[in-house]
Amino acid sequence: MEFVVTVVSHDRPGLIADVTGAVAALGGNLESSSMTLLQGHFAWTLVVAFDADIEVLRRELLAVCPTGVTVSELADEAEPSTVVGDRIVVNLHGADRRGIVAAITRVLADAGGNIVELSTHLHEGMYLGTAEVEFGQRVDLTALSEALAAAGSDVGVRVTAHREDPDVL
Amino acid sequence: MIGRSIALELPPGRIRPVVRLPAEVLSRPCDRVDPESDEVVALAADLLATMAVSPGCVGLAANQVGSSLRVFSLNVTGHPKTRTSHGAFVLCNPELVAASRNAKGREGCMSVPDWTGDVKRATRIEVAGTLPGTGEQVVLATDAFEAIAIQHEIDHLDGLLFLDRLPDARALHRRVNYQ
Ligand SMILES: [Zn+2]
Repeated sequence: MEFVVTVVSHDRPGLIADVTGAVAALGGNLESSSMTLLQGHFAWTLVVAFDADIEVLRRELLAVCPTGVTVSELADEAEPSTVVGDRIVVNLHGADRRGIVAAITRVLADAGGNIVELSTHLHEGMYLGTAEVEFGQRVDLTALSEALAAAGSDVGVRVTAHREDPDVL
Repeated sequence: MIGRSIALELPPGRIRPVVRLPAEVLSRPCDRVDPESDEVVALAADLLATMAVSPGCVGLAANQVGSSLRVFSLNVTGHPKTRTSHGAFVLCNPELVAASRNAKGREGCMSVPDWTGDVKRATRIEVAGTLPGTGEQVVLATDAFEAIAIQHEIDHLDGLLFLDRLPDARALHRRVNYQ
């Protein structure tokens, strides 16, 4: 059985070692995880494979991190296909205001894009963001860039898009 | 396209399976070779033959076909990011003797099938090495995609993958296979 665990907490040294230690002590396996600091808060999402009761996992994790732990069962889904038509990186920056991410991601959704990586940062009134977006077919990058730039200018941010073609060596 | 193609006279090679992570041979430094030995001449031919039948493959290190020896093959001919090209060639005991003008690019590897990474490489290099068979010593000056590919292959010979060069925690990406 796979579980999704989220840990949101004040950062402290040893927190990751404590959480992964609790998972290992229960015979669980940490499969994938992504951790970052958001405005100084520790935010971590983990997928854990574990043959036991969800309540046991929850109790042991709350013992090492009393606040901000959630545990839920991950529904069985087929592995996502790694075959896609196109992969585009979108960068944005500008003065902060409401609705920037909503406006830009709406353009991407309307174009058939699926966001696979996203990070946004607010710092001293500046808003910065990067998204990686997959499409079912090769996209018209010029048309997409124009639509993103127009949506960006409505909310006061500069938005650019480029194709990221990996080279297999 | 500039650059002189390297003439190699090699016997026909065998197509060999390409090993993938976590094969231990990929993480071990390879041994120097005698470029004029029959073993190395046969290996050079095998690398070219294997590269030729692998779609999108522009370079192959000997340890990627299971031989822990300092030999790689390369052929960046026709790639859109290529400027200088020396055609299809094999180099033994290669050494990077000059490197400048770093740039970041996204790399994948036949031995790491599901991942890519953003890696910084020099885009102007000089590489010294020996040709298999004749034992002729050469120094190749190259740039752009050929320079990046040569550094990737020399890394293989040192037991390093692009995974060992990721500059930050967000530089690893799932590899996309285009339709
Ligand atoms: Zn490789």
